[in-house]
Amino acid sequence: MYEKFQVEKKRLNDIEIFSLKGILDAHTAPILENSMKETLENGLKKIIINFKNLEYISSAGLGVFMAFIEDTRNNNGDIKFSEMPDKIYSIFELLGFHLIFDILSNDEEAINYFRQNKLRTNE
Amino acid sequence: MKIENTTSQLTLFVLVIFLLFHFIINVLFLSFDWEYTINWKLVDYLFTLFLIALLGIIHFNLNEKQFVAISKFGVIFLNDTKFILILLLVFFTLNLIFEVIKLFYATRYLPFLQLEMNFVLSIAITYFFLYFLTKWTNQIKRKNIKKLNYLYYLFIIIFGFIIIIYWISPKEENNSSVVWYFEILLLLSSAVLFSLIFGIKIWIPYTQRRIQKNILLYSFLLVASLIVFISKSSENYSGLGFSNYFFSEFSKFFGFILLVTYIRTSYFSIVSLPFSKVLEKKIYEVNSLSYLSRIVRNFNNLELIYETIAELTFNTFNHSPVWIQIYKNNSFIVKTFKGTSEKQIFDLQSTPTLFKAIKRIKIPKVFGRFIELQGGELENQIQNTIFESFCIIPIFFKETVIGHLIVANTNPYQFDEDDLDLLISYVEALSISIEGNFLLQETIEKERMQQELLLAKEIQRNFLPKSIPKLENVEIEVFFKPSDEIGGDFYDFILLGEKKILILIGDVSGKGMSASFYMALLKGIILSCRRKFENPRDLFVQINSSLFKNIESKIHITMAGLFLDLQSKSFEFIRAGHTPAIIKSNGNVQVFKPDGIGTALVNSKVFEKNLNLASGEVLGGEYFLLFTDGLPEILADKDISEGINKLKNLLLVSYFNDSNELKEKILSEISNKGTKIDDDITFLIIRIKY
Repeated sequence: MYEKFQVEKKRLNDIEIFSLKGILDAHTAPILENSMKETLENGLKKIIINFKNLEYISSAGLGVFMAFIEDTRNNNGDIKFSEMPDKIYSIFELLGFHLIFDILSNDEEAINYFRQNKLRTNE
Repeated sequence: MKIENTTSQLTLFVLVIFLLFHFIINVLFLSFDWEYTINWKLVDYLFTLFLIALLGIIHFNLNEKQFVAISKFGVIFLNDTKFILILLLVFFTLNLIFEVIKLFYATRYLPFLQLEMNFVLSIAITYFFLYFLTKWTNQIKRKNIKKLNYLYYLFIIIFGFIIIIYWISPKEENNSSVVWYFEILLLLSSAVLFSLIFGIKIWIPYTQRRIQKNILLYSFLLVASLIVFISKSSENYSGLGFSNYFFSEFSKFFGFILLVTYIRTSYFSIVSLPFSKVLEKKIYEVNSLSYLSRIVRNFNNLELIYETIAELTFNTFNHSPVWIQIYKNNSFIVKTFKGTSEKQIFDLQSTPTLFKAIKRIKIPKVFGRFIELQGGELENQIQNTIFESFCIIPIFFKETVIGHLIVANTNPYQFDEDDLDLLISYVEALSISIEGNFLLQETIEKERMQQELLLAKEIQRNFLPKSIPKLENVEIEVFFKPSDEIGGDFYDFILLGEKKILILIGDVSGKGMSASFYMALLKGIILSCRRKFENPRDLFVQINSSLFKNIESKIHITMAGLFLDLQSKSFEFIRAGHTPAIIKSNGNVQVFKPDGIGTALVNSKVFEKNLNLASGEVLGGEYFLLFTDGLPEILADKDISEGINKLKNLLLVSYFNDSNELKEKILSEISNKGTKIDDDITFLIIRIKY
């Protein structure tokens, strides 16, 4: 079967980088959700999501990040976004996610944010 | 044999009268030693003729119009055979009684009485023979076998000849052996003809074996009885003896014809008996398969199919134990069993090696010995005292073995490869049912989901305004089209006095039932807040604080509000994560996108901090376009910002006179795209008149 959505995980010390590919909608959101749940259960709270190869994200896809953001931030962690295509960014911007999340140009920058302990809080 | 109509009954009555008359005349002859003159002879002949005529009338008025199926011939034939046998036995028994009495009392009336009795009996026997022959030839003729028809007419002609000869040369005057031999020859040929017309070959093979055996037995008895009956010597007749003599001889003719027929019947019964055993088995197999194919479509009653197959197998395989086991994880369920017990079945497979050996079987197979089933290894043999030989057929579903049909026997080598074919057919029927059952369940599930979606759709409809509010100088057009899956689009109008209105549009993330549930929640919050808020911003903050942490963290709701104040001729636009508003005013088109985070995402503090207002003047002639993401997505293949640009352009370049015309323009844009809509599409157009 053609994979509508794929997620690849790469671990870097206490940071896990997720590379998303394809279409993230109501049907594929559970794949990402389970994958992130696994990471958090392993005790990793610093997460970078790379959007380079993501073609589309629906509101259900956005919901996945909201499901975990509180948990990470309460545990000295965060979810940061990187390499976001314009098309995806406009959706994040509409919803106001750019006001809640750090959206960075690449993974290195995101890693540096974590190194420098630039974490956002829920407040 | 039913005598139903009145003509026959009347004739029967006349017959009895005539027999009485015959009896009285003969008593007179005996008592007064009358002379048998030529006049009496004439009376005697006419009397016989009259009797024949009477029998003819009765015969042709009989109601025997019922035609039966070939497979039922045997039963009817057997019954008629029994009846003839009884008639003959009555004849013999009565004669025996008379002979015994004659030993002790020698009167002249006793032989006379015996003669008269035999006369009546031979009329009855003759009549029944005649009835029997005609009935059977009619049945056979009905089957329209041409050759038999010709034979039938030939038989009638020859038999007619015999009667004529017999009539003109009665026995006492017949000293010429030429006539006698001729007569015998004719009789023989008519007998052979008749036995051919009987069509034994046609119906014997279709007759049940049990009936065939009975026919054979009764045929033997009847053949013996008929030989005795025929060989009985003619007696001396006195008085009006011709009719007596005629019927006695006549019944012998028929007896002879039947004799030949019954010899032939016996022969065919003997020959076809072993074949009919095979035939019966085959017929059972064919019937069972056709029965199966009929019930196999009872997809919702799998148990019936399991049971039927076990039953059919049990009957076909001489009552060998049979069961169907279906695998579930690392065990199995016995769906049905016959001739054995569940304990035996589980005992057999109590060892994992044996269970696995059976479970692995992917092609139908026969095992002559229990050892073969275990893979033929002589070491570590499991002792089995239950079954020795097996027939094992795998049951497939979507190319995997899900179970087995197993026929077992306590004796070794009870099955062979030929047995597999039928079992395979049974199992194929079973597979069809299982597959059908699966599809049925799937359909039911789909149906249920469809029902749920319909309900969600109805809920969504119910929470939308039933009508568009009327406001002076304000024209509102609404387009709302829910997708098949039901998105969470909604809109609402809150009238604040005669000159103020708040128009809300929003989108609950998620689809179907859950979306409609949150929409209901939101509607409740709006209803409770609508009289309390100071300004639109206040309302949004209240909504967010009601929702945040109170609903699933994955769910959020985007909202936008357009507040029109016609008194102060101004508008305010506020946006919580929702798509922007497009406003056309004085030929200029602007996209209004003040900051604002979607509701239910962040706490009140963050929400409020980031929530900004856009405002402007309302002078008349303005168009406001509010929409949900479904609209720009469909216009630009899911690229929202591109879609918004297209809408902006549409407002800028196209010509429209009122909000309805603008709506039509947008709709034609949508239909131009022609793509499948998989989200709700909602948009509101608000026009301020001059």
